[in-house]
Amino acid sequence: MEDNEIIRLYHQRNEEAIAQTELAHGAFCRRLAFRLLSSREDVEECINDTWLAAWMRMPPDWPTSLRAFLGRITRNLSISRFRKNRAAKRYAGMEILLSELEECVPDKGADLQLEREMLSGIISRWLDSLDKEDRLLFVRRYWYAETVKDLAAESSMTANQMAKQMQKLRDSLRQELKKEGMEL
Amino acid sequence: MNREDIYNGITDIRDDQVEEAGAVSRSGKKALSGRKWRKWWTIPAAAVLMAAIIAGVLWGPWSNPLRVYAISTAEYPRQAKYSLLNEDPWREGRRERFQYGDIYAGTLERYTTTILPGLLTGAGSENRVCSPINVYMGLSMLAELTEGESREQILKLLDCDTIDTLRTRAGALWNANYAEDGTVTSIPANSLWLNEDLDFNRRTLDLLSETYYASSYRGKMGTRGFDRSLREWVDQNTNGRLKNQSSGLSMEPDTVLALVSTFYYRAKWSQKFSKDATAPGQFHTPNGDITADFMHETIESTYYWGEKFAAVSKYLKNSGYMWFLLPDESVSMDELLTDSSTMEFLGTVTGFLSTEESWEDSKYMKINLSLPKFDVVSDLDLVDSLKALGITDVFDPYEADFTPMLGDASQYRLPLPPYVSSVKHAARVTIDEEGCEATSYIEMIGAGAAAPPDDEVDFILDRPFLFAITGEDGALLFAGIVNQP
Repeated sequence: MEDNEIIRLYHQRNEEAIAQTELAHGAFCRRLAFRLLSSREDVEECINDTWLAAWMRMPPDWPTSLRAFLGRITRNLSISRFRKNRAAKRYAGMEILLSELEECVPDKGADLQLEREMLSGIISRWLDSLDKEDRLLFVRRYWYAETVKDLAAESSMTANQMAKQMQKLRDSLRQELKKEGMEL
Repeated sequence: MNREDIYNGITDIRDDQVEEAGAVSRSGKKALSGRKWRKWWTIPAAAVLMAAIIAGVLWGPWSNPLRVYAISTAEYPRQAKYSLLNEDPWREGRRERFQYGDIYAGTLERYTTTILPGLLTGAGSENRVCSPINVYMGLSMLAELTEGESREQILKLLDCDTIDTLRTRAGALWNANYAEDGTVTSIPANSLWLNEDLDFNRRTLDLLSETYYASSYRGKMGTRGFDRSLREWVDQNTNGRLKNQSSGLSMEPDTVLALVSTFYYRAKWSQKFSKDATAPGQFHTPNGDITADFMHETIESTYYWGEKFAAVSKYLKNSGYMWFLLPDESVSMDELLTDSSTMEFLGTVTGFLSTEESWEDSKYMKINLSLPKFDVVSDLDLVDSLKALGITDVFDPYEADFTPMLGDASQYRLPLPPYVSSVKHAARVTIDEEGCEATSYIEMIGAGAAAPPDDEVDFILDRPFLFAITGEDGALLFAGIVNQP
């Protein structure tokens, strides 16, 4: 079923919408959650919460990309779960991802504060400025949470080479955020 | 601002940027194109056959001389071949294949971890190989031919609630794993061999053709001509790799239908073994030491360990991974296969794309790998294994329900209703390398089931080990035990 048809079912309050979402995007969301949470039990709870959140938000929302919409919900729920349970559980994927993203934080001493919407706008514009290959790499690693190892294997690179490429991209983002912060 | 703010900012990037990367993600498109095309060297090749013979006892008279009719011949999707000058059509083809993987990703774990011990335990000192994907495909088709409890038992093993779910997943599994693009050869092939004295439900045959790309042939059972056609079909679809096994295939005059599935797979290492490093060495079989040719290399990769095993994987170019699991020295192969931690590991690496994050006990490090070249083959009768896994009714003429295939079977005056009389499963996996040149062999300590001591580990497969080949979508294509390389 096409995404627009699925969204139409949500707007008609037809529960078939959830079954069709599971069929079309269940594996994608599950894989994303698993990469972040690394625990099957948590993944299943997270996915159930994703379907519930989608049901609550449509209507009124009519997403232009259902995949991105659902993925965002899954990512948001994953980090909430990480915050809540991190003391008791080891969410390896999220921990690694966040430790890498720590390097993107500009000038920690200055305590730069940006609204979430403004920050995502800066990141999107920065992504636009990158070569396509670098943009794809960054989004695959930090939005889709694909591993450095898998990205390296596809590129016939060693994981170390890929890690260095990622480090360059993180450095570039940090510089961009620093520059934007100074202009505010 | 902290790291979670950055994470949230990335979460909300524009939809088109998410979609753009999503189209490439899992499509196999190169993340970076800096490297030139590499020549490949070492070649794992694998082939498998599953044949379910459905028998009844027909009353004569037999009709028609030696003739084989092709009722329907499956037309496989056309795939763009890889071209160095224009990679785009090939990449697009791979992207389309990957989209099928999304349909069943994460749903095969329970089946995989159930079927593996069922098929591989009890090998003793022999080699044993199986193909979970091939068995899945064969059982899916069998489910389509049956109804009632016969079908329910199959659906339960395949972890599907309904036949529609199974149909969707099996069709996607076929499409995701069919590749003949000049880089990887991965061909699942299905066929039905029908007794010409019976009328089969055309709708069911069409469904099998459309969903499973199954070809149907009709002829006189128990004749050399029909048997020869069957063997030729098997040889053609396994590239002649199972000739010894196919030569034993025959259909008896009382055969109602034979369901035959094959799977042929051939891929190449992305990183070659150096021929200069290959050397003979001792392999400790259950019956004593033998000499085998060992390939050696040092790689930077993830080293995994569980309660009773250690494991590494090796990437197959434009495909999945080959996994090597070495049991602890005090652990028998059957013990490993019934160990929940081992099955959990296999379920993890096959249920999702393999990632170092998905298995906590793992470490990225330098690994000195020693792997014997091997050519392992086995020929199994699956009836007892499938019965032990809960599929019983199809083997019982008084319980089996083949209504979707034959309608009301009583119209044929069969003293025994149709039932499955045998299920053969033959598989062969080969890892080889062109022209070995022996130089030296470095004896190293064996890896055990514990955390590695430092940043470098020796992983020496010089005693019986378990291997698994996963496709690019993570599905378990082949698994086996090497007792005698």
